[in-house]
Amino acid sequence: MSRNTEILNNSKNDGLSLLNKKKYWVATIKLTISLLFIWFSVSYGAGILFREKLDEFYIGGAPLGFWFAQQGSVYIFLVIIFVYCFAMSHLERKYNIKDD
Amino acid sequence: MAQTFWTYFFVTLTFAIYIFIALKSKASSTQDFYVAGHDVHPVVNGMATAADWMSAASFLSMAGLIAFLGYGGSVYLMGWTGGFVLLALLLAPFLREFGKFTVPDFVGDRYYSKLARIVAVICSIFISFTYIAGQMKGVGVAFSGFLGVPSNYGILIGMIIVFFYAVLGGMK
Repeated sequence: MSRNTEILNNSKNDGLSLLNKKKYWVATIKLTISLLFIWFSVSYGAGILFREKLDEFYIGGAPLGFWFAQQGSVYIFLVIIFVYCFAMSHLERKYNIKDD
Repeated sequence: MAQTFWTYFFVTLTFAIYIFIALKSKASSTQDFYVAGHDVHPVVNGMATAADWMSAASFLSMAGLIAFLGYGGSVYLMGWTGGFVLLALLLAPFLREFGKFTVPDFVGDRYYSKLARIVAVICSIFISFTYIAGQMKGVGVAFSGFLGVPSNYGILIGMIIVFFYAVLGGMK
């Protein structure tokens, strides 16, 4: 309870309700967890767990499981980071969180 | 011109540039030393992180690991880059909001605990130590290769040069 009052007292934005901040936090958590799920499935899932099944397909001459482990996962990590940046800016604008 | 001439020329030129930059931008406060006074453009900061990556650790050790371990070496690739994803998603945004310079500071503040801070400091010392040990070995290999000296002297020379421009400039 004291943490909530602390947030209320330290709030720099007028008219920014506590409910708004909670919604922002819940949206952040959802975004983070879904991105982390993609992260896990591309690296551990595709590269290690399902490698034999994926190896039957070929991409540009290399087995797919192997390609995911060595190259594909790294590309998707980059995409994840960019998506996170854009999605967080969008969330900040949507819930009117000012950043200093 | 002989190949050794060009090697010496380019290496000396690069180090002269580093030392010139270090002298020109003498860090004068703790903030300057660690975060360059907060006025480093994010893209430049990103380039510094990238330079961290494109060093002995990648060219010598990663390449060697994958060459010798084959398929098994890909876990190092995924671990390294995947770790950056974890950093970007779980640590960096909160670090920025807290306004602290270092992760141990942030951990101590966030969890209101001096013990957490000390644990974080010990962890980062271990991590830095292993990383730098690997890098210095790479520096030794590189310097002894092009200067033709035994690898101990290679490490020593590299260490002195890096010490010089790191102490002067810090993060700048």
